[in-house]
Amino acid sequence: MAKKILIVDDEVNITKVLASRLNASGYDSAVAYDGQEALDKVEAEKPDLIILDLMLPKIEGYRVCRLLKFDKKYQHIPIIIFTARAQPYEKTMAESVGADAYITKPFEPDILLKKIDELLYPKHEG
Amino acid sequence: MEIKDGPGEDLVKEIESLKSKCEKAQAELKATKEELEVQAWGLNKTNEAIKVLYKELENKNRELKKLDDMKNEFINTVSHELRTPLTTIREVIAQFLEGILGETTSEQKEFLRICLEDVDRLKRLIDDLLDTSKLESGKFSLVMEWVDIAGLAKGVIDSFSPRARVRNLEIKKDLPGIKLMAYADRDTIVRVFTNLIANAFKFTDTGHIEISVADKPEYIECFVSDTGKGISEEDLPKVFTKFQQFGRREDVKEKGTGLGLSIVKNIIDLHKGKIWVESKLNTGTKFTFILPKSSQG
Amino acid sequence: MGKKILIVEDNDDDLFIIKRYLSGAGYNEVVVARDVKEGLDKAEQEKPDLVISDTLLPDGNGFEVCQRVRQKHGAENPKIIIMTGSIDAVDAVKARKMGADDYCAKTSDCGIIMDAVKKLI
Repeated sequence: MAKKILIVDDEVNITKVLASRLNASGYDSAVAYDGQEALDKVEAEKPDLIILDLMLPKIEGYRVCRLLKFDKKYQHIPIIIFTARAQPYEKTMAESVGADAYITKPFEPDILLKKIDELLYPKHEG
Repeated sequence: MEIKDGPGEDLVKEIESLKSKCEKAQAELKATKEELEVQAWGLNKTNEAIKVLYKELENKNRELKKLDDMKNEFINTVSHELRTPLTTIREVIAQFLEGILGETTSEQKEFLRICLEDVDRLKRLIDDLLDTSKLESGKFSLVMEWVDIAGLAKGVIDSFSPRARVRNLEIKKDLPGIKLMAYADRDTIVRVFTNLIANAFKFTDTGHIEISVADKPEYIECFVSDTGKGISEEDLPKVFTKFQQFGRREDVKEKGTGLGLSIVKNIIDLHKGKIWVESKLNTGTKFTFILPKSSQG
Repeated sequence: MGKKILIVEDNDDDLFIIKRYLSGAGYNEVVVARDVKEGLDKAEQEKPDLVISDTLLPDGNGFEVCQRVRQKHGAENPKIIIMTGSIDAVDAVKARKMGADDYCAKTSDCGIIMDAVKKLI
């Protein structure tokens, strides 16, 4: 069964293009355009991975991430945080709210796909 | 009462002489005192002026720094705003080319490839602008990790193959079959290869572009060479200077910003490596750089 | 104010700045000369209350202007300020000896020069 990825970003263009790429790479996708919708969709769709933008209306990205990571039901879902600025403190923040990975926008699609693959199919070093 | 002859007269003469010496000394003293006063006046004037000028200098410096910061902040913001839609555009074109968005004829694919090339060109220009500003403001920090330099080079070369086919240029790859690891900043090394190869494309009409990555005991040695127009002897020393551009305008189709090579040099310097160029007019150019394998290099 | 000022300066930018600050401070009777010869002629014709001269001029220097004006018109009037872009203690002494009333550095706000002008006239 195909893995489902939830895309959370308030920019419709990005979500459309990203969904298209993910679908072509064999993933199912769902979309949320603000922090509240993100939480609702996680409950409804039970995604295998979440791509989360930080600049979100209603509830901001960091808070969404923290809420999910503190919830026993959803803390196992890997979260990749998307952000517009590559400030070093943002990386620390991402780690402190429990994000599994951090990608700066504008993103390189193949790098994103690689990270998704790493998180969904972790290779165990034997 | 006149005193004539005898010891009295000598005494008078003595007193007269002393008196005139004294007057002379007093006059000299007065002159020296006046001279000193003028000198003191001059020094004081100069002193006061220096204090004022110094403050003026401090203010001007502060203003300049503010302007410089504003400039960098502006470039940062603008570059970022420019990059974001570019990513979306590029991704859409790439998806069309890969057939993700439906069937396209090979003719359509050709035009899409033209779009892609120009998007990449735009992205490179913006990246150059942004990086120069960062490098200047000292805000550039490398993210160091163990990177496979050979693999990196191959990635960049592959991205240029469609263009090479169109331009009828041969790309010679001289890469070891295995991984060649160095402690470096991945993105910037990609930039180095990208900028050097893009440059080679810009200045070469026929022949080949060769990229080599070789393992040496203490470092990794890479070069990008071409059979292009070459650089004159007098221009060679200026090659890595910001905003320098060579070649007659009509010849060079892509104008660029003149920043590419200065960025390359900056990146190599930050990695504590070395870069140099050899060139001969109408024969070709070769850029060679070395990267220490580890941070202790 | 009613005071007449003669400026002897050959640099356009510097001239523009000093004129602007003088008129800003209310000195509207301003005469201009661009070299030593013109400076001396105008000092004679216009009978200014104050002469402000640059040190470097195309046909000589401000010290000459100062010396000749003093020779011709005496030690009291007109008042003379020598202004310079490169302040130097040796020049300051020379200016004083030639009879200048002040020696001022050129600054972007003409602060030193304006202070001297206000003190002298």
